[in-house]
Amino acid sequence: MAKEIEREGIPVAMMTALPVIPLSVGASRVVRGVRVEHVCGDPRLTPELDRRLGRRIVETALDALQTEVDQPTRFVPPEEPVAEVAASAV
Amino acid sequence: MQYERASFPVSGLASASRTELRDGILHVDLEELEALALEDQDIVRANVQLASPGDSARIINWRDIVEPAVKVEGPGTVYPAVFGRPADQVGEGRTNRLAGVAVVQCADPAGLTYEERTWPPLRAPGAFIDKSGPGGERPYGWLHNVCVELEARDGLTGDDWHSAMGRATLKVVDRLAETTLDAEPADVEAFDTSPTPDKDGVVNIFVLASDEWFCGARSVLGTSIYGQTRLSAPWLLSPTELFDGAVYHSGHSGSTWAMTNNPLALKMAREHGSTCNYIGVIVQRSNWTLQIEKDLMADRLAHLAKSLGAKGAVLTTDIRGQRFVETILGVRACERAGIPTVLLTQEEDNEDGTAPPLLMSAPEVVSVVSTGTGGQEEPFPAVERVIGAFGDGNGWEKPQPAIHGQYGQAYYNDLYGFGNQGRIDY
Repeated sequence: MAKEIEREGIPVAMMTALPVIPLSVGASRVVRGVRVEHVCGDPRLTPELDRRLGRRIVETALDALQTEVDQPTRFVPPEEPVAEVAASAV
Repeated sequence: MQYERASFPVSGLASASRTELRDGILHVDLEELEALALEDQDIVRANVQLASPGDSARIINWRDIVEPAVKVEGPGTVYPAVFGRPADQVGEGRTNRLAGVAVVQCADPAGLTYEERTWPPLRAPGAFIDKSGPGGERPYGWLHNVCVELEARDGLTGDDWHSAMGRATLKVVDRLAETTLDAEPADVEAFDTSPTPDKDGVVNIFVLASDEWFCGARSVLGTSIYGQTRLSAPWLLSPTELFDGAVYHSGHSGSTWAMTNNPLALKMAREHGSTCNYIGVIVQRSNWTLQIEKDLMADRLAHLAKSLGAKGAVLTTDIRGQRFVETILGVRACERAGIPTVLLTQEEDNEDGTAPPLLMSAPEVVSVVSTGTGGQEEPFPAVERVIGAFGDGNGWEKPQPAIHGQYGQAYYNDLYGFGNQGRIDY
């Protein structure tokens, strides 16, 4: 689906837990999510960290959409700053 | 290990007042078997029906298919460590088997929640067994089936429900296997699994999905090795352990029978010492849900195969979707480790040439043997008898539509090359 939409001239960023599949079949922009069960979040996190994680993944996808690519390209969301994780755990 | 597979071929089934094996006919006391199943405190209803190849019969609601077998020499118990059976290592000594017979467990999990029905939560509706007509080609179609229809009491959890079904089924399996105890086998095949280092080492790798991600770590649901259903690092088994039922299916897409009668492992075991040094069976659990977990497990697989001295491997898979990623990663990792690896797999529907036959591939996947698509392009004719729902055919006696392409895999699940599907496809 991503490839067909892209073929119509509409940029696509695909969020997935398993980048290897879309990369191997030639999807343009592939954004690494978390797990198959929860692509854009992590139930082990606090609600606040979970929300921020989801936001980072979606923002990475939005950045990817605005990036010209000429081959299947992987985009990896940035990690949560360690200090923030520690503060949240307290 | 020294192992003898003693076969007692069965050419027919007969309802009788006494359960016994006589002149190649398995006589079955239906009431005795029903009473055995009902001994289980969680089983409230049991009915046994016989079905042989050529019968106008369709078996629905099947959950597992098990060959009657019993250990007569050597340690352990067939189908070890499931439902409270002893966990001692099997694969040595002698095992009697009723060749050509399969006990079919039929049960409707309607009372269970979606999550409790095991994963995949419901066997696709196409997963019936026809005993005649075009559908009779699948491996289970040409077996003599002792079908055990079971109903459990209300209110059981998914784990308890599946355990009750498994316990009742194995009671029937054990009883039928006892009929071999005072008979002479028609054939005794001896296997010596001692290493033969002068030949090239080979392994076969079964990629078998775990249901842990869906059912939890301690569940009995899904394919188990010595009762263990968990996602884990690769297992190494002797092929003779496989023949004794160390790999058990509970409600998954395969069957226990397909493991104890696995054509790939049997062929390789027969070649051991003459054309190859068959090191053994590696079971690779799949359904890891993180990319790096999948990558890691592929690396562990290749490392294990390499450490064992494998110079070649045949790798199979048991289900599609994200599990197929692990299958391909496994082939890739082995090839990168210098082990030429053949992939034996079913195909996706190629949609008349417009779609790839495999969900994914990799440049390292250079040798693939297909067992077909599972499609059945002719409709399934009406049948006289529906087994699996206590006499309530519920429309299943009517003709069933043809199954095209990948959807057929729910019907004809030939994961290991039993051999007939290629004839149907081509």
